[in-house]
Amino acid sequence: MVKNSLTYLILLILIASCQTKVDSLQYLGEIQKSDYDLTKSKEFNSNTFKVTYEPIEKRILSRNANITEKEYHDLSKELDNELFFKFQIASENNLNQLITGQIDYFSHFIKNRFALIINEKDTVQPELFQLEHTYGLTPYITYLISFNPESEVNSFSFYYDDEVFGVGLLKYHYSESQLSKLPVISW
Amino acid sequence: MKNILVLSFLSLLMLTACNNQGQKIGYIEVFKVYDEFELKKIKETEFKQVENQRKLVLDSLRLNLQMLENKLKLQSKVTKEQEALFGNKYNQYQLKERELTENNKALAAKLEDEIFTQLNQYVKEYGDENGYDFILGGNGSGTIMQAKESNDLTEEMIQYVNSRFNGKK
Repeated sequence: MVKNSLTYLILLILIASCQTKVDSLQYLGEIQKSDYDLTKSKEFNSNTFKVTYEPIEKRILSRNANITEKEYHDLSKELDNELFFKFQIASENNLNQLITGQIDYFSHFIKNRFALIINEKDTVQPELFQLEHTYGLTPYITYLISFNPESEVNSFSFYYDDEVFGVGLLKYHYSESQLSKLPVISW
Repeated sequence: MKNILVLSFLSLLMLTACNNQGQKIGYIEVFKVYDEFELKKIKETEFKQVENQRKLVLDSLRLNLQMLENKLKLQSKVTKEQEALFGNKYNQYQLKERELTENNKALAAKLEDEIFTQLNQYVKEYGDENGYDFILGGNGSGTIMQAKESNDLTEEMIQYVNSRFNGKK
């Protein structure tokens, strides 16, 4: 009886820890599910700071979901160990006025306020850093930020040390168990 | 007589219900939560580093001033130019000291604002998530005169705010 229960328990743990396998066409739909918790948000006063981790699979398939396996592997080799994030700042106050007044800061200098902590020890600075221009049409601003860590990545924390909105250091953690559950593409 | 007894009993029940109203209330020791908040510890270290760097600038100016003063004291006669130079350096030192003290005050206020902005939000989120109508802050000044220990959320709150700050929740 005890032996059976143990077997079921082990089976249950194995099933729960398994990664979902989907084909390339289903991947984008699957990764959007909130179960994966790729978007993390913090809200202070009337400002929202939201980060979304974008796995390499998502970056590649967003450009072309009908990609072949070979093309996919070539592209993923090119992107190497790169980790991509979208970081959004939304505000109920006049964000555009604030940005226009300090356009150089929001386009370039703010880059130094971001970092990624790999496996809770190594700090990596952004490699690619891009402000998406919406020409003041949206109540938010979005940055595309990538990091290229040299070590193997098991977990990471995204850091933004704010000096404009009066909130200070913001951290968003992606644990090893969370990352290991992300879906994989089966070809 | 029987009616009066029933009425009294009902009134007592209503009074108890009104007082309680099923409201969930807890309290935290504000200073303890603040002291244990990781952002506070980080910003405190940050502030001390800046403060020390500024102190070094000031120390170097003071040393220059003292050297000049000692040099002038050893001379038998101090010229008007030397007096003016010393006066200028002394004024510069005083201005810098005032400026750095003001900057330290402003930085401390800014960092404290940042800490409380995050802390207040996380306490609110804890309250919302756990269905609290009130979370009171005891700070040793008599705002909470008496409360059951079972309503003390301090330790749980410290864990929660640090977990939220570290992005782990």
